[in-house]
Amino acid sequence: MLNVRDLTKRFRDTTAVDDLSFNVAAGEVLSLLGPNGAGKTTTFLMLCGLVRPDTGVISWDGTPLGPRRARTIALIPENPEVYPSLTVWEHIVFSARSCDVPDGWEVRADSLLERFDLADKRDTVGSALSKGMKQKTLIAATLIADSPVLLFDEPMIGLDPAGQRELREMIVDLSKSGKIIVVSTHMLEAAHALSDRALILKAGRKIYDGDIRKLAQENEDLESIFLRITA
Amino acid sequence: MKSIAALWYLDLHRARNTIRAIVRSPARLLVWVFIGLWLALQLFQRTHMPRQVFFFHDLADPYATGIAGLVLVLFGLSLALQTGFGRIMAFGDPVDALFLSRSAIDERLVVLWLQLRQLALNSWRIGFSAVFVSVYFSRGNPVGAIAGLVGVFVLLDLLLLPTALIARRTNMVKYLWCAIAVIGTLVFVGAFLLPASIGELGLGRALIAIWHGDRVALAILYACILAVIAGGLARANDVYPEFYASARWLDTARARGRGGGLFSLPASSKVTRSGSTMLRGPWVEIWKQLAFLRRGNGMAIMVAGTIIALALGIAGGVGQQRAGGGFALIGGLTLLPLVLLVQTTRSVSLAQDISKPLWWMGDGSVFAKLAVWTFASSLPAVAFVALTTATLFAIISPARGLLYIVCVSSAVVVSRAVGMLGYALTPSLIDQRGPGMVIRILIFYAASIAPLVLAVTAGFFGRSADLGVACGSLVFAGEGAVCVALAAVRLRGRGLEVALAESS
Repeated sequence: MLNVRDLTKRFRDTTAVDDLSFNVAAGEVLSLLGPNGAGKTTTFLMLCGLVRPDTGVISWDGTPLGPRRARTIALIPENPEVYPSLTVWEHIVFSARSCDVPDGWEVRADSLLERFDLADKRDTVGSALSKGMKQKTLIAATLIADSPVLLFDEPMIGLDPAGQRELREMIVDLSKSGKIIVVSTHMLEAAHALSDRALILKAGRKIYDGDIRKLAQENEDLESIFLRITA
Repeated sequence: MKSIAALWYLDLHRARNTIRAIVRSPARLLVWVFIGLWLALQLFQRTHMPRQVFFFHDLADPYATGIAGLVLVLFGLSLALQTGFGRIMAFGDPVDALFLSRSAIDERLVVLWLQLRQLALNSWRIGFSAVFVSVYFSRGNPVGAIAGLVGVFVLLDLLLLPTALIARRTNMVKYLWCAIAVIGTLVFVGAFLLPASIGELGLGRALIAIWHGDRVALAILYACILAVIAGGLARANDVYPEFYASARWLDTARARGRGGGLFSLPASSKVTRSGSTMLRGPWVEIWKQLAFLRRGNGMAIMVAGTIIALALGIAGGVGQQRAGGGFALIGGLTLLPLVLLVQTTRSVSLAQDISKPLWWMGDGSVFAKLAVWTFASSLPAVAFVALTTATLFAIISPARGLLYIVCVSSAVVVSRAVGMLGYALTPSLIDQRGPGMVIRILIFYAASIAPLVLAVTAGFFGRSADLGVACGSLVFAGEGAVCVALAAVRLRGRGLEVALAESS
């Protein structure tokens, strides 16, 4: 169980995230929704320890997590950044070695490359990859570390339709294996397909946390719901 | 051991893939091999046959203390610029923060690794400086002088991270380096105005001892280096938020283009009032660079630079009036080459501009755009030397001031034009930091020969130093224009290709 309590972050006069609290159970997929500037990315960065919150506690199974919580909560950022002079395979090897993954990960790495259609790009350096390929490389390198909580920031952007479907299926598989998944997205259909629960942010504050279907009024589509709530 | 092995794997494979990319490109390989061999030859020559040209340790006070003051000014300003008033320039890329923050590697090891990586990245600059400058600092002990110079440069690099880590907790440290620069200015000024009292501080003698390769001085210097490394490790806890912020900060700076260099780094994400400009076509670049400067840390650095420039100008002017005998000329011949050296070692990056159709579609020729960019990106350095010169000549000879302001400013812009040509020849940032830096310096030296010869000839036959300087500067400016024109020819129609080559 991931437990977030009273998370707040201010940048000078702007409150990016304001007193945010929520829980996510093992095997659950939570969709984090909100307009641009709502505080989704800042929330993710605080969860994985790359931004220091002003207040708040982040706990995993009842134990508060310290500054090195990225070992438990791994982020796959919106902008896929990879080492320009490292190959796809070398990213995975470095991730496995630096995270001290037990022996035998090579088989899993090979299957990840196959699954993401990266096998023929195995020896291609980062600077020569397309945005979608970089995204897949980063996801594969993250998955090899086997973190119990995965944060996907706008994961569908940059992926082709086949890649998007593959990622959706993989997220569902990961949640079934007991991992906690939090997905930030603007693609409401994707959010609906991935999860039943949505957490909506507006100007850093939580304005809704619950079943995504209960938001809908009669004959109202997802886009209208989103625009109505965040207006 | 596993952590060390992981970091070793990262660096080894990154280096190996980079070397492979260089080897696959015959032109790049030729440049690396040629410059590498040439540097090795120079090192051999200078350690075995030291030339009897000029030796720093022969200098007496007040000159020794004055130059020590100048070194402190450069030391303080360099660190203030590189730490960006308290920013940590640890990770060059956010991907480091992403991968290392979730790793099992101890933060202290990461900080140590970053310090060593910083040294490795600057090894060309350190090596080049040590090889070429050391010979002037020691008679008969070039190895000791090289050790001293390397030690000073290493200390300069290693100080960045620990002080920035300390600056996380206090606002005092971020101004430390500016304070050192100001103290250096006071020492420089005081050395000539109050020689007896300042000279007794022994600052000049301490510096001479290091550059003379004195064993005790070297032992103290290297003990300081070890203490700085230990200081960095002691502060290495909960570092990733700052490291990530610094990487993002650098990313933003890169997106703004390196035209303004460190001056263009954003001071904050706070929204400022939008501006407008009367400038049109390629001239808009000047407005853009000034906007970066206004909204970045550049403005605070410019204030410090203005104070230092005024102080140096006053010191030079008053010193010339009191001591005479070409005092201002000696000061100028010390300061200007240092500014030009810093300008010439700066890399050029145009990827953000030339990779976009908008840049090519805009009004003005490629030459005009590059020329304006060259001028605009030199503005902070031009302002510094122009202000120093203006203050100096306001005291000694106001009528001749304008001529010399134009001359030193054009020299600074030409040094950037040489950088532009270097970029067109070797756009890769790795190459620019390595052999590209040496090539730029050599081109600049070569370009200086004709103007110098002409200046001496015209000055001799015209019996006027001013005439000589004016003629020399005119030719120098012409050479700068040729450099930009050659760069324009090489870049025309190859925007995306060159932009991609930048990251190779």
